[in-house]
Amino acid sequence: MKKKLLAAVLCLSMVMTLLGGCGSGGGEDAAESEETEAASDTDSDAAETSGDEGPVELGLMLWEASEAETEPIDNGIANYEAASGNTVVKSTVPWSEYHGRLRTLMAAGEAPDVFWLNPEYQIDFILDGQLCDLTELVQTEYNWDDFIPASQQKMMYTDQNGESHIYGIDVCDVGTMFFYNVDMFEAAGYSQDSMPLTEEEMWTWEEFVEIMQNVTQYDENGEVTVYGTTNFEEAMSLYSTLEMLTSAGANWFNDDFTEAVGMTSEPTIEVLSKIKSLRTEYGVAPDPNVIGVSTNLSAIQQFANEQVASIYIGSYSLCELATYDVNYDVCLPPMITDDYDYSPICSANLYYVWANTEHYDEATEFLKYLTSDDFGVPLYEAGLWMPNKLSAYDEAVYEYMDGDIYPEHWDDLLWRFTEADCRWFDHMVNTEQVYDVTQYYLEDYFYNDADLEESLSSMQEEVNSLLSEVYGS
Amino acid sequence: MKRRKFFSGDGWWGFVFLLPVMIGFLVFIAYPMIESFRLSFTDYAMREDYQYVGLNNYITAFTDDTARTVLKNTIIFTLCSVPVLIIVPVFLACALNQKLKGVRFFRAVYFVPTMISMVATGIIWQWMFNAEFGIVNYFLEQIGITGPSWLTSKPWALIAVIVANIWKTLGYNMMLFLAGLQNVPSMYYEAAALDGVNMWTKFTKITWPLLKPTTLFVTIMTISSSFQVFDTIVVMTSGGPARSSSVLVHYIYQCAFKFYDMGYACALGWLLAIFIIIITAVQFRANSRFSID
Repeated sequence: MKKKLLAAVLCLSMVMTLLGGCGSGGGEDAAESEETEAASDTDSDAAETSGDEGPVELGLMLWEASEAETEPIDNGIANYEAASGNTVVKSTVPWSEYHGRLRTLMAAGEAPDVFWLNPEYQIDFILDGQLCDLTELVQTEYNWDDFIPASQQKMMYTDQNGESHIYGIDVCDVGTMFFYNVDMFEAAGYSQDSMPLTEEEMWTWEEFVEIMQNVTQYDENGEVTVYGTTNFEEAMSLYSTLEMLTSAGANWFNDDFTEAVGMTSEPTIEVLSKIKSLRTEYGVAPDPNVIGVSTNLSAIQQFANEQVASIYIGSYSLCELATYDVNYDVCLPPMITDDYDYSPICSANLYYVWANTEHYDEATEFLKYLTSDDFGVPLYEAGLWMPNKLSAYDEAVYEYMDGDIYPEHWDDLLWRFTEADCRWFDHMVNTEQVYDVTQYYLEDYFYNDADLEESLSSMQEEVNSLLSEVYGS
Repeated sequence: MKRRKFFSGDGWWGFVFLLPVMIGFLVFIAYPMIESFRLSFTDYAMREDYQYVGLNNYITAFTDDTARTVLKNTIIFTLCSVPVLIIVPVFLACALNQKLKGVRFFRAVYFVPTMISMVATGIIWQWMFNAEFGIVNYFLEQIGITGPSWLTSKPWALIAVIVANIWKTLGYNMMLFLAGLQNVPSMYYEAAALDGVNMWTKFTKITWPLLKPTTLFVTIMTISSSFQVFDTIVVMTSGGPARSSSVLVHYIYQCAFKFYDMGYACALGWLLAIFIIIITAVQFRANSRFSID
């Protein structure tokens, strides 16, 4: 009998364990399996209260772009906890699952109080009613005019009545940079002093191709050992391809981004054709198989391993590059068309407060801290983020730029951050579907020789179909 | 009286011991299945306000070009994988069922890929299929063939994934056939040997018919898993380029967790389930029709 009783107890404990993960418990149980609680000894019994009733537990969800940001973020959270008495439960979710997980948590009523979102997903969440309107907070607590133009653009949302709102608050920006391996370029006869740092000095496309051909290295069998450049065929969600398109005068959408109108334009065709020719005609860029598309080595790792001599990529790469033993510097990218008007692009994640948070006051206080210099500066120093305030570029930014991370000519290109615009896709709706469509047609052109004009035409038609689901035809 | 006996006897304890599994089944399998069936008739997009849309999602599935593309890819994947994953393991199992020196080592070698995680398998093969540094193209180059850009080429991406999946699954199926072979009584082979029967006749008249239950099981499991392939594709190609290697489950995942079209994803899931049930039923039927008494 005792044995049976023991077995019954074990069975019951199995049932309880089995169902343990299903409890809501204010998000604590479900969260803890994947969450790392930021260092805090605050009494957890105090959680779930609000307002003046004492310390609360706040959920924070983000993705980890680089290990370099983990320590500054955790330190910042610990500082906030010490100052406020509140507890922060931080969830770090991989980028690939981030928005799906967030949406699921929202559907389950378990979303974190404060979270990151990339701006291109913002409107979908706004239309779902999942984000707090922070317009008043920004008006009263922030100096709007001090935000750089790209930050203002990505924060500002204009609804269908023409009214402007702010749902997300920006803490940083990321823009494209053309990184090059100083030693390899010098070996090919291009000194650091000769690299373009102003718009007047930018290479023409022909000059650029010639330089890349000279920098590309071959073995005795004529096989490429080092490619001149990479990452011009970046997926559309990111930066470099978009920057080239906008600079060449292409514009894929109407003014309020409710309709795709210019995907088949001449500048688009010229830019995409020239990008492809780097790999297929001139052989100075590697097959995307070995870079980001279905990556074995990321483009950054290829640059770090000296398999490519230059890379056109987001400034976020800086903190990863700094961990490698490569002598790198930055300069401006080439002018891809004859009437190129270099139009730098910036974007990056924003902080949001969940519409159903039980701790609005505490969440917005926390948000203010997360978007303050106290929190941001250590991340700027790590090289992952760039400041998003004009005042920071006056003098303060030079204090952030550690000699071991920021290369020699970085400060000559700071203007590209303060003059940048945000991306087209930062104004998008049905964003995942739009990305899926653009990825489909661009992959088909870049890697399978599909007819470009036909692809772009079909792409525009399908994107418009997706936009019309929200805006009507 | 009977009730008292149930509560005091072994039946009660059996019920108690089954309880964890039953609750697990109800909570994690039965309830989600019922709920997904209900949602398949809605436009649920992970929002509270959703509506019942009747059979719309099912009708859309038959008119959706992307669904047709991924279904075609899924069928190609299955047609290419399953025969290889039945025929090759049978012969491997026959070879490794012999009393040879070092046979256990070879059994282990063939089984090792099964123990590697699917993600690791995907990454390993991603390297092997690398257009420039990969070992596959290196060997092709040695015989004068310029290998394709496997993972970014429309005609080759799905084939690359099929090869990786076969490598991963072959050993598992081989072990199942090996277990089946070891249940074949040796007296049949001894009698055949006395009659001077050759190897091929032994295989076709003794081994293959007696392996039939195992073959049915392996075929059903392999077809079912081929229709559900997901992780290898996500790791190796993400369904690209241009959806050339995207399969049904990958598309269901995208609809549910990328596009938040949960109602449509549920409908696709149920269509896939019905498809697998029909194929399995046909296999059972064919097996019973052609069985040897």
